[in-house]
Amino acid sequence: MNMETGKTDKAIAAAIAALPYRSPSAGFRAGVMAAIAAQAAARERLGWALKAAGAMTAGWAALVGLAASGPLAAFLADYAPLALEPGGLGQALRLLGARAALAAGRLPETFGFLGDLAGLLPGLPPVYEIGAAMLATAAVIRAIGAPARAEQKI
Amino acid sequence: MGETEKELLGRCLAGDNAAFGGLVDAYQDRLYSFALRLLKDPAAAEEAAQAAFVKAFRALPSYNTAQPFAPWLFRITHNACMDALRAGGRTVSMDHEDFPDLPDRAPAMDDSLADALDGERIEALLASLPPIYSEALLLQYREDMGPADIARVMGVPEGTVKARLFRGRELIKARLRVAGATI
Repeated sequence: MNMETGKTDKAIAAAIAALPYRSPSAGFRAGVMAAIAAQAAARERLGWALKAAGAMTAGWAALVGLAASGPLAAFLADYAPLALEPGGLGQALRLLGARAALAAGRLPETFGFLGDLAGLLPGLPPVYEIGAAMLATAAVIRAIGAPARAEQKI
Repeated sequence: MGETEKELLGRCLAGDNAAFGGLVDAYQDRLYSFALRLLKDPAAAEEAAQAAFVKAFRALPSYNTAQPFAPWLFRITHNACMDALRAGGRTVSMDHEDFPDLPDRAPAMDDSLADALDGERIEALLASLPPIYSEALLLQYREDMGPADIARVMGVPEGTVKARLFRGRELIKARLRVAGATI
């Protein structure tokens, strides 16, 4: 590097170092803080939603457990003494198979009932359709008409 | 006496969102000026700087406190500016280097040209450079960063940063010579 190059490099460095900082508009800081607050609130809402979903799932699991405990106890009371006898396990399994076959035999009946139920739907009075349409329309209007937040710009 | 950057960061990381306002106060002019000199549009620069702060706030839990904060924040701003340039249809050379035509043997420069490098002139010269050169020069001389930090900000190897700094200075000199010849 010769002296002339060194001097020019220093002059360039000094000129760039002396460049002034510019300031953004007055609302800049407020805009950033509003966006951050919106983001934090959204994160908090998500946390609450997850907690609510967790609580609901746990509640449903407890309810199902409670409802199933009676039949389960009855099932155990029926089969446990039989299974504990010598050679009773095979007998208990055969009994279970027979009950399963009986339940499978009832399936067409169940499907027939569901089919009948579905067949009733077109015959429902129009007032239900009007009610459903009103609810759907109200939901769409609410979704479209909700005011957009300024902080959502970013 | 105001809080130090480290204290503010500590409070932010502990979940105090209001402490981020102190970081915005400390960096808003620097980030906005940096974005303005790259984008050359006040509205786009403000948008990029604002987006950078919001992204930084979101990414704060992943920030390594052992590393300096400024290069991390400038890296996010760099990305926001590159996004803005791409959105505006400008091509930004990221993967390969542009090799601007430079004279092999530069004629000697008049000392008075270097002496006359005032703010307005250097601002115009920087604005005339491709962003990859003006950015490297601004980070080194205006933000006082070393090649390692600049490499982190620009996402390129240190050698590339050194080459960009050299070429940026040479381009400025070449333009000064042309300006001197036409005076």
